[in-house]
Amino acid sequence: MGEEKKQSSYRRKVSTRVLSYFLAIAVLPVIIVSVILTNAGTEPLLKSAASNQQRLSSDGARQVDRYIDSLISQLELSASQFSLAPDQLEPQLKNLMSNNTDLQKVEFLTLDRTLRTATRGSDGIRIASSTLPSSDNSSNNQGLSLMDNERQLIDVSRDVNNRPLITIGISVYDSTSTTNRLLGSIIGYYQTTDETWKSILPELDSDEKMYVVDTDNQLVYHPDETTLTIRNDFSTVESVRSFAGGEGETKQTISAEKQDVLANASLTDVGWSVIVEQPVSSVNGAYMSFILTAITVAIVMVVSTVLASILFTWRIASPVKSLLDGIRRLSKNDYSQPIDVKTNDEFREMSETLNGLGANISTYINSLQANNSNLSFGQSQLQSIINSVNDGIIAINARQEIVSINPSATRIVNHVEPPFVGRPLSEIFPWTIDGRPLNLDIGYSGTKSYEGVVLAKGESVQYMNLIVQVNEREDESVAAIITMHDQTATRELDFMKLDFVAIAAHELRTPLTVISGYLDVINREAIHSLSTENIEDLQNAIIGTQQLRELINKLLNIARIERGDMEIFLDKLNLTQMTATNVEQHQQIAAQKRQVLSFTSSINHNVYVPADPASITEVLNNLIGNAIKYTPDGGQIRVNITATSDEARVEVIDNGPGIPEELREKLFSKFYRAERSMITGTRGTGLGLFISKTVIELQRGTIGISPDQGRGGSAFYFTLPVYLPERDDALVTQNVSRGRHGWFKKRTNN
Amino acid sequence: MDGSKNVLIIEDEPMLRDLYQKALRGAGYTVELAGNWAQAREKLVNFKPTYVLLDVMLPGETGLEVLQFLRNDASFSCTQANILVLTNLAQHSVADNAMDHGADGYIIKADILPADLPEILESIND
Repeated sequence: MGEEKKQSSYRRKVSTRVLSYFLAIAVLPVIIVSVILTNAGTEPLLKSAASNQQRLSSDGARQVDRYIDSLISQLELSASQFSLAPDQLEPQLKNLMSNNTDLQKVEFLTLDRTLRTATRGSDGIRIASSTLPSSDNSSNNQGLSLMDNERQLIDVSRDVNNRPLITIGISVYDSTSTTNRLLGSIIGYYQTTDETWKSILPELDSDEKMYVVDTDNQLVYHPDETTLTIRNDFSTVESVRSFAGGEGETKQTISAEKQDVLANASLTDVGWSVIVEQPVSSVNGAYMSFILTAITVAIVMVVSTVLASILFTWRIASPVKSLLDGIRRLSKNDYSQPIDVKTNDEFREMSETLNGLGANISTYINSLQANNSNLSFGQSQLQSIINSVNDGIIAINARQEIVSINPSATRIVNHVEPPFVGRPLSEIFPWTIDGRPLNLDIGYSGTKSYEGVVLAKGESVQYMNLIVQVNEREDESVAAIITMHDQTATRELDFMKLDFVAIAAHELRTPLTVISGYLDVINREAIHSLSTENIEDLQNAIIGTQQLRELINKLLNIARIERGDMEIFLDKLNLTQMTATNVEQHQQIAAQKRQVLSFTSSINHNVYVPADPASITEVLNNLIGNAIKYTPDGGQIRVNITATSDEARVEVIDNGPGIPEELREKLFSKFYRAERSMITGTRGTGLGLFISKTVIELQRGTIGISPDQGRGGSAFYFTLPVYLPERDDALVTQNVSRGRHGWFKKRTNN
Repeated sequence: MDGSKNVLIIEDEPMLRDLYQKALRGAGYTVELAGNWAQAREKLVNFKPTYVLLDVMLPGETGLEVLQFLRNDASFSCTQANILVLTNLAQHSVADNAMDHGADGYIIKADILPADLPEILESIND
């Protein structure tokens, strides 16, 4: 539930973020522009208006100059074509007037001081002629002055209605003669209409106003004034400039209409001023309208942005939501409903890919489930096999704790209270081997078996073999599998067998003792009572009895070894003396085969060993007896004793057939006899070397065959540790000594 | 010891008794024979043995029981006798057990010849 909430809040965040990005992109520039404008105020607009005015007034001045020039040129052209013939002058003037409707009056003065004046009246053009009085000098009359000074006249005069007339006067010369003779002067009075001015002056915005003032500060043209009068506030050029800021400068001031205006003035060539005026309020209005436009644009952008972002979010988010829902279904292992995205874009591709993925996963899961059910079927079969196996099976982890245990294993430890799983192996199965606690080594991988493992169960004991299979360290949970194979019954059977051997041997011994006893009795009397032939027969019987006794002793020893009951009683034994004596005892038998049996010592002192005299006697009997038995008649047998500071070594060397290398190990195993014994037909049980090996090893010695040194024959040896009082005194059986025929208490006194 | 050579043989095997008797009498010993504890007790009424050869495997009271009677009951006059246990089992544990119960020695019957007995008896006091 919490997750749903979280996911939807993520989604909200996405749309919110999209909207905010869009708004930022759209509105930010508007805000920036607005802020800049607000901070700058109307100043830039005013500046722009001022420079515009400057340009307008300057343009206006140049246009006025051009207009006046055109008037002069027109007048010159007309005058230059005049003929001075008296009958010609009046029609020429009339013609001039009618060709130029702006002309209100023309004054033509000839050198004879005759002034002809053409005026435009309601009844047409009238010509009047007069002669100037001689008293008039050029300073009083413009026409005369023109002739005197040969200058142009550009001025503004007023008609009766006080309307301004642009007055242009020029000198007239005879253009036909080469002397360029002065003929007179002509002055034209032009009344310029609003239409003319509008065509002369530059185009203006409705709120702008342009007017023209002459050098006498009289208005020459003003769009609002029908009757143009002198502007008193424009009394001088300076005053104009102070009002309008003058050439190149726009000034904010109060107009004649008491308005806040921006004004600029430019001077024409003839010294007139062209003034342009614009109310400041119109500039502010423009500013306000700009602001309004900006706000409108901003609002439009915001609205369109919101719409666009909603559209975008809808276009993006809805397929994303479909995808998300689909993925969520996939994550909940619901593969039934494919993801449905209708858009023809990457989302659709993504959804189709995801659908494919979902189908794959679904297929995979189905196959996994199928495999799983196969596995669990297999597992249950395996489990039932493991459960029904008679051998105990335990799985342990690396800490040697029980992870799993089968019923057979739990039956073995039915004296222990369950549960078993999780408990240390050594607690449930306190195994011992050779009387010591079994220390399972699982620090390797592979199989190791432990035989003769003992499990104490209260009063009783169970014997078993263990097979420990240590896993590769991939699976930490199961480090090793232990299989317990119960050996108790087998072992009991073995013991019964051994018991049988022991009892049989024992029961054989009593009659044998009786037989050998009586044979001995007879033997002692034989010399007196028996024939030589009978004595030989008796000797054979005695030898046979001895052989039987030795065989029975060997069988008993084997039984003891197998049961682990072999008893060794260490004494401080003079090995040199014992060996010498033993050799001596065998000499008679060797002599029968014409063999030379000798004893040698490589050292010049007696060697003492901590050993069991009876068993060492048996070993010597065995080795020397074998040598005699297997060495051909007439052979040589040497028994040598040698010793280092810590080891005594007895070697029985013969010059017989020798022992093949491959048989040397086998010779010391139970019931093995060298093949040669079969060939030579010598008899034997093959038990002697096995018993010898066992007893020598029990006494910390070694036994074996010396390596061939190319001399032929064989060399059997055994070693024993040399007697060390500090080590061995404690081992020697203190109060009992074993004699030739049994044990007797040691008598320290007497 | 008083130098007398009285031997009581307690052995259930008649032929062995016979053999041991022959060997010891030949060596100058006075020998009395018993096949079990009951017979031995009868003999002991009038016979003061210096040596007792005692089979551990006896019908009725076992050798070890007999050993204890002889050692501990002064009425049998055997507390100071040399008591040697006879057996064929040849196991030290049996010998140890016998020694613990007061035996002076232990003879493995199969390992000796009856003719060796006088020598063995003499060797005990060496």
